Amino acid sequence: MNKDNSFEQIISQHQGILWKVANLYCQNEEDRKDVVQEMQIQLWHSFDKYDSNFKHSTWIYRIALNVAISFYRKNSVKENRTTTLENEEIAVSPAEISETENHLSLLEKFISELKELDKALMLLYLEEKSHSEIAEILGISTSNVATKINRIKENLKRRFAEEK
Amino acid sequence: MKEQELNDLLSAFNKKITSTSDFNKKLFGELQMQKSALALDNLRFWRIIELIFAVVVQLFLGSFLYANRESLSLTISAAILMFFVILEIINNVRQLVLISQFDYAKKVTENQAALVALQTHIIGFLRLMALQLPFFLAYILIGFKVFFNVDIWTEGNKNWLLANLILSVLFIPVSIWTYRQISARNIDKRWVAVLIESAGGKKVSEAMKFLNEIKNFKSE
Repeated sequence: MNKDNSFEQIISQHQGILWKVANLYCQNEEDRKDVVQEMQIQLWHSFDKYDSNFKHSTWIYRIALNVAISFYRKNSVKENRTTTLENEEIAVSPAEISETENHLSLLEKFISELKELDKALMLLYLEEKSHSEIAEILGISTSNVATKINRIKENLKRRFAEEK
Repeated sequence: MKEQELNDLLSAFNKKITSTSDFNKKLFGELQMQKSALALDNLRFWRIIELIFAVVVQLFLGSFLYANRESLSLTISAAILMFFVILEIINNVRQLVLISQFDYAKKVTENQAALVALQTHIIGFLRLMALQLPFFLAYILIGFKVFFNVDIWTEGNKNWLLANLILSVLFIPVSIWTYRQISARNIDKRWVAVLIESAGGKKVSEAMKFLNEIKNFKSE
């Protein structure tokens, strides 16, 4: 199998990772497309140096997160931090918004306000990655992963309590 | 909010951000031709320009030193400045090597710290300038020789020279203190932020704040 084919096969299997990371860091569709394309470029450039000791997903997460964070910082989109994901499904009148939908909307807002690295941590936690894999992707200790996840979750609970 | 409620919400959020678009297979064939928007070309360009400038200055100082080898004061002055220019050249070459080895597949905190280090290159330059403070007389001596063809050390007023020498000595602790202060950990100090922003712009101070965030993130 040549480079093109094996690369295509790996990326096709894991393309959801790229879009998920892009959805978390980018607020608009154009940015999401740009960042996913940038991820693909960096994955392609890095493919020859791929270390087979790591899972494909670990390698892809590292590149996707590094690109998304760099892209986010380069474009100085911090002013958009408090906005939520575009989603017409939840754009309904306040009366129609159920408590769950309201909470989900608040959660999006709180997560969008997290620092870049905390966002990355939460994404990996939501993906149910093991603490050791999260540590390997982010470059922190395994015990630190658990501590930080708990801290972020406690912070989210506190924010919800403040909103009530 | 209870733990289970939060977990359910997080699960719903996870579903919401899970989306895929049609994968553009044609792109693979074109990837080699694509230009990265995050390319470090800009950083590389400026490091090369700085390197060329530093080499030109070094050559000038070398020829100045050779032409004035009979004068001990001018020889020492040129040698001091050449030493600092060599440090700048080494710093630039190291940066160019880092840029050429830059790898997005590194651990996220490592990669982002490396990127910030490249973006805050101006800090190294400012620290080098701070270290040169006690040697300001070397600039004056060379300046007088270059622009007025006067060796101010032998022809200048002795009291003026003595006052400058005393000032140079007094600048040593100031220089060391300033050198230590110009760092990411002090970016919250107003004068450090003003100094850095006036030299490198808001992006550099933002990058340094991000470096602190990375350090905090890595610490438990």
